[in-house]
This record gives sequence, C-alpha cells and structure tokens, in this order.
Amino acid sequence: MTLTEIESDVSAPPAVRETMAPAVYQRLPKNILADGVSSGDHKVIGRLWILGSLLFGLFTLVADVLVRIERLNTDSVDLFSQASTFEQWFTLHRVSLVFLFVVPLLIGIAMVMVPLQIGAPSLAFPRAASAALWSWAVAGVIMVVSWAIDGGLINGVPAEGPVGQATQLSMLSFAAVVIALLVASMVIVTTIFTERSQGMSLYNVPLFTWSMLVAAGIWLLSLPVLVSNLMLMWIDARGPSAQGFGGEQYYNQISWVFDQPQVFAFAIPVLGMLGETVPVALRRRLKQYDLAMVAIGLFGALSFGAYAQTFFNPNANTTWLYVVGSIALILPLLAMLGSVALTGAAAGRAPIFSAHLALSAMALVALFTAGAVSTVRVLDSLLAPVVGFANRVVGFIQNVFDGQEGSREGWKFLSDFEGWIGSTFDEIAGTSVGGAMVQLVLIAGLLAGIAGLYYWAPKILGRKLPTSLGLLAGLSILGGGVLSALPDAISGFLDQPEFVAEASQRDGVELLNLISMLGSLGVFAGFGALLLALPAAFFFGADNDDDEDERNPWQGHTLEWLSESPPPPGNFEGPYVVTSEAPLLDDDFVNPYAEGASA
Amino acid sequence: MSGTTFSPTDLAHAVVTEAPAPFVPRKRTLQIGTAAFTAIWVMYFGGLFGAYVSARNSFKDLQADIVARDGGTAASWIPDSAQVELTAPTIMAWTLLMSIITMQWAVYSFKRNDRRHSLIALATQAMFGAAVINQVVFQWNQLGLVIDDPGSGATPLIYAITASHVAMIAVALCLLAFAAFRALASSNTSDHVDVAASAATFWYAMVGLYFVIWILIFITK
Repeated sequence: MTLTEIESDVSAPPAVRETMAPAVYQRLPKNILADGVSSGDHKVIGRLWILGSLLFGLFTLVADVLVRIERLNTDSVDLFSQASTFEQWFTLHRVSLVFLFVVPLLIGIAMVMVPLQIGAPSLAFPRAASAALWSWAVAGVIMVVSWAIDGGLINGVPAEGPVGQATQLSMLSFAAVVIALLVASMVIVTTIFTERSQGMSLYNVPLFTWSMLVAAGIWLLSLPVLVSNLMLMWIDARGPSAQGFGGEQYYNQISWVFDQPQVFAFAIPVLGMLGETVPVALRRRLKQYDLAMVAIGLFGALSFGAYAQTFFNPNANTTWLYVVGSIALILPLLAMLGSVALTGAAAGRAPIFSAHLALSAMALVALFTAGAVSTVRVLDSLLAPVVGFANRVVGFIQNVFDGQEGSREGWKFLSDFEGWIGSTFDEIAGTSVGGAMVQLVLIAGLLAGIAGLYYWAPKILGRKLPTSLGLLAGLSILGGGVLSALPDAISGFLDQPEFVAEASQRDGVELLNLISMLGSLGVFAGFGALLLALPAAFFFGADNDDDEDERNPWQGHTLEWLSESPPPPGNFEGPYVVTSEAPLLDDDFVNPYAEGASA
Repeated sequence: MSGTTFSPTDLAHAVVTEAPAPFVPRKRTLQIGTAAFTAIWVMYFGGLFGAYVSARNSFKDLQADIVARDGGTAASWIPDSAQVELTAPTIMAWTLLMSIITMQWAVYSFKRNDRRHSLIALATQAMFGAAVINQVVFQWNQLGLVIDDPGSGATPLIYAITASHVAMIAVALCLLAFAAFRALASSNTSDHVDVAASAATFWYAMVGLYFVIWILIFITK
C-alpha cells in the first residue's frame, strides 16, 4: 500500500472508495509483505511495535526472574557461571526493560492512537516510522545476542589489550536501538504539531496525545546524550589500549538513564492515560484541564536527567537542582490527582468500572510509590542542611542568652540527628534502593501501556479485551512490582549493592530477596495474563455485545471514537472541525459523515 | 451502492475531483520534522561537549594537585605530541561562514522560482561542505593524535566530536541533494521552498556547532 493510496482515498465517500480500490480496504493485510511488513499505515506499524515490545518483554521478565533467583543466596554464584555473568544479565534486563519493552510499547500505542486522536489520516513521516520499527527490531536482537556472547556494558576497560569486539557490538547496537526510538519520537512529535484537525490547538489536544508530545519531546532532548555516551565509549574502545571512558564498568557512564530523574521520563504517559480514562468513566469533561496539561508538562521537564551524569560529575546528585527536582516530581502527580478528584466530585457519582480505568489507577499508584522512594534517596541532601541550620540558630540563641559568643553549639540530639541522616543516606548510594525506584517507575509505565491496550483495543485490535484477564494482569503486575521493589528498597538500607551477586550484607537480606523474587514471579504471571488476553479476545470474542456502539463502546469523548473499529486506511470518512478537548461532548459538534447527517 | 453502479452524488463527486485542486497552504511538516531532527543532533553534541569540558576540568584539577604535591610541570590536556594548529580550523570557520550566505541564496532563489540560481547556490553549497570535510581529514593528519596513546583522554573526545561533525556535514549534504532533486524535478521551485528552508535549518545548526568546536577544542585548547 502506498501513501498516495491513503491520501487520495480519504477525500472520496465510502461507497466510491470501495468501488475504486476494494482490496485496500480489507481489514487484514492481503499480502503480508506489501501490506504488513512494508506498510506505511500507522496502525500496522504501531501494532508491529506493540508486538515486538511484547516479545522482548517476555524475554526481559524471564531475565528479571533469573537475576532474582540468583540473589536468593548472596554468599555464592549458583545460577550463573560467574559473578560477571550475573551482572551482564542484570544490566541487560534493565536496558531491555526500558528500551526494548516499556518505551516501545508506549510508542506503539502512540503510533496507532495519536493520529486517530487528532483526527489525522496518517502519521507525519510513515516511512520513517516504519524504518525506525525495523531498525529497532534488528538492532534489539543484535544487542541481546551481543550481550549473550560476553559483550555487554558491564566489562570495563581492560588492563591490557583491546576491548572485546562483542562489547563494541553491544555499544553500537544499543546506540542503534536508541536512534531508532529517537526517530520514532520525532515522527510522533511532528505528527502532533502538524496533523491536527482544524480547530484543535495544542491547548485542546487529548491528554494522552499531550503526554506523548511531552514524553517524546523529553526523549528527543535527553536520549541523544545517551547516544553521545555510547559513541564516546565506542571510539575510546577502538584503540588497542582504551583510555577509560568507562572506568571499571562501561555501564557507569550510562547509569544516569536508569536513575532519577531521567527514568521518570519513561512514565510520563501514565498521567495521560489517567486523564483519558477517568473523564470517560465519569461521563464528563476533566476538571481543570489546563492544570492537568501543566502538570504533565512539569512532570516531563522535571524528569529531564541528562545533566545528572555522576560519571563525569560525582557531585551531580547532590546539586540543588537534582535534589529539589527529585522531590518536586511529586507535585505534578498531586496536581493530576487533584484534577481527577475534582472531576469525580463534580460528577457526583461513581465512575463506570472498567479494566482500563483500574489499570490507569494502578499505574498512578506505582508512580506515587516510585516518587516516594525517589524522595527518600535525596532526603539527606535536603534534611541535613535544614537540621544543621536549625541547630546553628539554636546555638546562636543560646549564646545570646548566655552572653558568651561561641560557647554553645545547639542541641546535641540535633547534631546527632544531622550526623545520622548524613551517614545513613550516604550508605544507600549504589545500593538496591535505586533499583527499587527504577522497577516501580517502569512498572507504572508498563501498567499505563496495558491500560492503553485495553482502552483502545477496539481501535488497535478490532475487539475488546477480556476484563477479567486485564484486572488479573494489573493486580499481579502492580502487586508483584511492589512486592519485588519494596524489599529491594529495604535491603538497600542493609547494604545490598544494586547489581552485585556476592556481597557482605546484613542479616535478613536473603529473606527480603526471596520476597522480591516472589514479586518478580507475580509480575511475570501478570504479563502472562496479558498475553493470554490477546488470543482470548480473538478466539472467544471477548465481551463484545452485539447491541453496543461498535465505534465507541466506552462512550469516549475524543475523535478516535468516530472511526470504525478497527479504522480503515485513512481512518476517517473525512476531516473534522473541533472546538474543545472533548469534541464528542460539545453541543455544537457536528459529525458530517454520520448516518442521517445532512450534507 | 453495489457493483459499478454510481449514484448521482457519487458521479457529482467524481466530476468535482476532476477539477483543479484549490490552493491549500502546505503544512510545515518537513520543517517541524527537520527542527526535531536538528534538536537531536544539537543534544547529541551537547552531550559530547559536556563530557569534553568535564573531562578537561577534571584532568586539569588533577594535574594542579599533582604539581602542588610533587612539584614539576603539569601534563597538558592535549598530548604534547599533537600539533594543534589554528590555521586549518580557522579556514574551516570562514568556509562555513561563507556557506551561510550561499545557503540563504539558495532559499531566496527557491522562493523566487529561480531554478537556475537555486541549483547554482546548492552546488556551491555542496562544494563548501566537501571542502570542509577535506579540511577535517587534513587536520586529523596534521594533529597526529594516536587513538591508543595513553594520555589524558582528550584524544577519543576530539575524534568523537570532530568525526561526529563530519557525519553531520554528510547528512546536511544529503538534505541539499534532496532539495536539488526537488529543484530539478520542478519548474516551480517556490512550491518546494520548505525543502530548501529545512535543509538551511539543519545547515545553520551544523555551522553553529562547528563554532562551538572551534572555540572549545582549538581556541581554548
């Protein structure tokens, strides 16, 4: 199928389109190679992104379970051949969790839904989107293979001799994966800027689209820095004796991507999903829509983390910008929650329950929990100076009353408290507390992705997904995610390193690791439920009722619900004119293509 | 409607679609896309520049500590064996400055439907780009930096930055070629002014980044 076909067909009425090119309008690709693999249709491309991310996700979650099984015994390395192999798998699981699973899943949903939400017939650069998809898939496979053949980024600069070719391949393939995601982000940003329906300004785009604009924008600005890290490491590794742009482990130079605040950038669409599903469940507009947009924008701005590279600046995570930014991340979450609560109060009734609503809420819970862990990690940088300052004020007052300058230095318990804060929180740097936060953020992103799959399943798959399996998946993933992350957070205070198989830790860590492993199994089981839901929807017809509105089963408010399920190439019968963020609730909105509408 | 039977409405539609299309302003898709693409490159270089400044400062601080403790002379950031001449980088700076003018000439000619001047301007532009790549290769030979020399860490950074800039010039030349094909294929170049403007956006960013490289690596050393 060519782009010309899509564009020319949109202008014709449905009856003429069918007569002119009947083969193009079939639901399934007739020719897998032409209409599937090489398609320029954004829905086909998006579905392939989603399919690829789910396949990589399966691998990622198996790796997650394996590394947690290894941690059950911290005295020796049992499951893997040696400690470095464990570390390779740990870093691979983390890299693939972000770049092969969660981010591509969100990009896939955006590829399908963003054009539909803004009333566009296609993406801005469909061929670039397709090229990005295949580059990502091929580079992703090469990256996993390169890790498996003793490449990866856990190796450091060798004392003698060149850096291994497998390690170099890991660097290049990882860079290729990120570049492919950048191209996909560029396509999404350009689509939102240029393909909106008439009357739809950036102030009234649907919230998911807005969140994807913010997310893709932040990825565009921060992930090129990751590519520059990888290119620098690769050029450094080309010489027979590399000069140290990896230190002991190359992973150190790119660890900022998997740390706060940057890791929160991968969960920005959580807020967009919440803003989509709650108003629909309450059958009314979202209150304080502008506030919700500002909250998502602020969350995105605060999650920009390319400046916090501790490899180049060891003090980067104690600067005021880092500390205040990390704590302030909770504010947009509260603002979003406030907007949702006001909408609920104005509706005056309980929301209509659905799997996607529950999944969106679970994603927000996971994100709040991650925000709390993030705050704890920087608490010392905030609390210690405040306590120290308070104690100096107390000392000053004591001296004024005593009349002897410098004789008193405040209260001892405050001095002790300040010292305790400093020593305790200094110790958790590099421990599994950081890993717990990353896990929770990415669980939030995953839940948002599943919520999107459920909400837009009629558009993405042509049928609804079974609610019960969705709830099971959500509860298992959220419960398992929290169960695996919180013990990690606690064991971080008991000196468990972030990704070292053997280490001296305090008592109780192995029990916590057991709980963590059970949680990881829960996440895996939840993902299995999602994978079951997809064929179940096709083989058992899910819970589609014959008498419900096939185009708009949830009574949604935005333009995508005017298209058929699934939408044909070109998406809509024609262009629409909108005046608000929820056009289907507008009294003056006219669908000129609806049955019975006058020409 | 079934088979090939057309209703009067459909036939009317068919007649209407035969008429010349009304003028619809082109969307700025290519320009917005190029702006996003340019932002990716700028941030990529931002990462490299940050790494360069940070590594250089750390190295100099370390050397200052060593000199204060042990005495002697501090090692230089760029290895002493390297020959950092300002001539070639400055000529490159002037070449790129001139290219800004020819780029604007190309955009102006596109806008005025001047196909001949559009092509001349683009060809001149491509020549400037090729000349800069030639100068970079000459400069690498002149510098004499060996990638595996044990040293400060300046060598891989300099190669990473300058080679990335050569890659950016190559991409800019591809965009110019794209604009040139549009000019060749059309007698009405003003229809494709967005292509020239997009190529110009990317070119200006490339020139701006070179000036940062010029100051960062060659002027302040």
